[in-house]
Amino acid sequence: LRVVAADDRALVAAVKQGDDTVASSFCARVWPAVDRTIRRLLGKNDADRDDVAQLALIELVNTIGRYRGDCSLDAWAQTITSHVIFKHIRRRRIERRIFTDLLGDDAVSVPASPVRDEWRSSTREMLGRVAAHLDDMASERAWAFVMHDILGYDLREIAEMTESSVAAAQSRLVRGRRELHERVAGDPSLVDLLEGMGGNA
Amino acid sequence: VKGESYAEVIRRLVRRPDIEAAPRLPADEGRLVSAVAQALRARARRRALVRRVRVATFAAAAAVALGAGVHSWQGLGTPGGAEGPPVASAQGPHALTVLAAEGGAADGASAPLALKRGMPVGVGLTLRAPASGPVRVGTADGTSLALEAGGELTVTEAGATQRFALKSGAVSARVSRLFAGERFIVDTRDAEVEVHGTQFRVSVVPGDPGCADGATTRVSVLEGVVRVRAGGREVSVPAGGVWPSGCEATEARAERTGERPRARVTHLHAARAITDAPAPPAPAEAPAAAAPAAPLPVAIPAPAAPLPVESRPVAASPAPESSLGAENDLFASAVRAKKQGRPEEAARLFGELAASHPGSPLVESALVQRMKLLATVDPAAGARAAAAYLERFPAGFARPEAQALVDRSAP
Repeated sequence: LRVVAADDRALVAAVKQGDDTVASSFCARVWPAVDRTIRRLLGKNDADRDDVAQLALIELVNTIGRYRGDCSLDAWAQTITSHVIFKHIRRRRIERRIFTDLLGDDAVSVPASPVRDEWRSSTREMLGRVAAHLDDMASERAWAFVMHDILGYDLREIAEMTESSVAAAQSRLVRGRRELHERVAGDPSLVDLLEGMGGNA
Repeated sequence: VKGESYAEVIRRLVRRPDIEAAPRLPADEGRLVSAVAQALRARARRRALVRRVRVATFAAAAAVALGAGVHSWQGLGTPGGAEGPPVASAQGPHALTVLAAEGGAADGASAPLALKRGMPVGVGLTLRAPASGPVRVGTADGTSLALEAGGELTVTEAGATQRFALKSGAVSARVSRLFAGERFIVDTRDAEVEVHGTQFRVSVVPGDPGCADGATTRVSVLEGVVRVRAGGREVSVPAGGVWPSGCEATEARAERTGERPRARVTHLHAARAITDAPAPPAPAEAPAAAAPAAPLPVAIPAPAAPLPVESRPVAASPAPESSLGAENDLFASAVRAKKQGRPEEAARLFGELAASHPGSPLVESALVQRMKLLATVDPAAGARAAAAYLERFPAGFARPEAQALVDRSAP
């Protein structure tokens, strides 16, 4: 395949035309946003990561007609990729513990903390227990909490990525925080872990 | 942790928004690029298909519009091709266009204007037919109306529901097939006439207290069924019927004496096939005059001598049917079969249309469709169909494609 150097506008126009000579350029251009979104929402070691990445790239081509240039190409790629990821997650929800996989990943770790074996062990245990609670919560609320409070997306981004309104995203976040707090409060061993770590963080 | 939500503690401990993306494509880059290239090619094919469908749809609509225009010209007895396209379809299949209007005028939102062939007719426009002849308007889907001399008709809706208000005179209409959600209605002062794929005529006459409570509307149906709603009742009038019954003498007397209705509404129901027969004579000068003038191209069988509409032997002397409706039906059936994935059946129907209506304006489109369909299921048959098409339309719009099919099959 011939690689065509093109800026975003020309690249998008070529993709809209179905020009297969820009396949490589397009992949290279959107890959960082696609990969970052997958790492955040699925974790970097997810077994389906490669398949989801391919599905996301194909979906980007298929939906390019809806891209009006109202946002950056990166933001649009992030949104479309997240749609593919959530669709994928819904299909496999029964057989997998989503948040256990995500928060158990090494990519999510305690920032600026002293590296000690005891600390690492406590962190892993805490993450595991929190993830288990998140997996048991209503998925919309759990995702709102994880995407906003852990992964750092703002409400507008969450609304676009989960195909909902900003108001719905905010409502889910508030309810998700409250529900998680209640669940943790009912788990004395997790409370001990959090109080111990919170004091040291 | 005191005073803090546990969720807040978790957020503070675990928050990790700065996950970096891998700057380059993964090792199996080729797989991803190949998948994207394939998706791009599929996208290009879809776009090409959409373009072809749009072109075919436009060609079919243009052919139907041309057919309606030619038919209208024949009805008028005027030479064609003088003043541009008889039907404009720029505003959709229900957009009305003036087909013939010598001396006709219209009142719209602004000043009165003279009607010209090809002029679009929008909602709110009131058409006035001169005493010397009718005004004809039509749509791209084959519907046409003839407002008879001296008549006055206002377009009140021109979308899926086509609604007209007949203020005076008479209007004949031929309505092409109505699909779900579509209606064709003519209102008069005292009745509402709704068409169901028919040919009919509506006129306004002076009220006769001794007949139908003084109703001023007269409806005669040539083909199909028309529903008339008046006085809180709805009546179906079948082919050959008139409404109201028993009032024929009233209109006969009015027409014999030359008496014209005063600002009354006449409904003319559309017919699937309008005849080319000469119509009864129209008043030559003023509405009050009864002198015969140019023949009206309305869809009423011509009697030996001018007679009132309702007194004419409509049922006994049926109008010769146009084949336009049958052609459209056949074409639509073929397109439907094609869409439903039955190419052989679709090709057969297109062929049947070309064989049974060789003079139809749809023939070329039908032959092209047949050629393409056969090429997908049997290349040899497709090549033969292409050769037949080229023989009949050597400079047709699908010549390149047909020639390619013929060349491909050549040894």
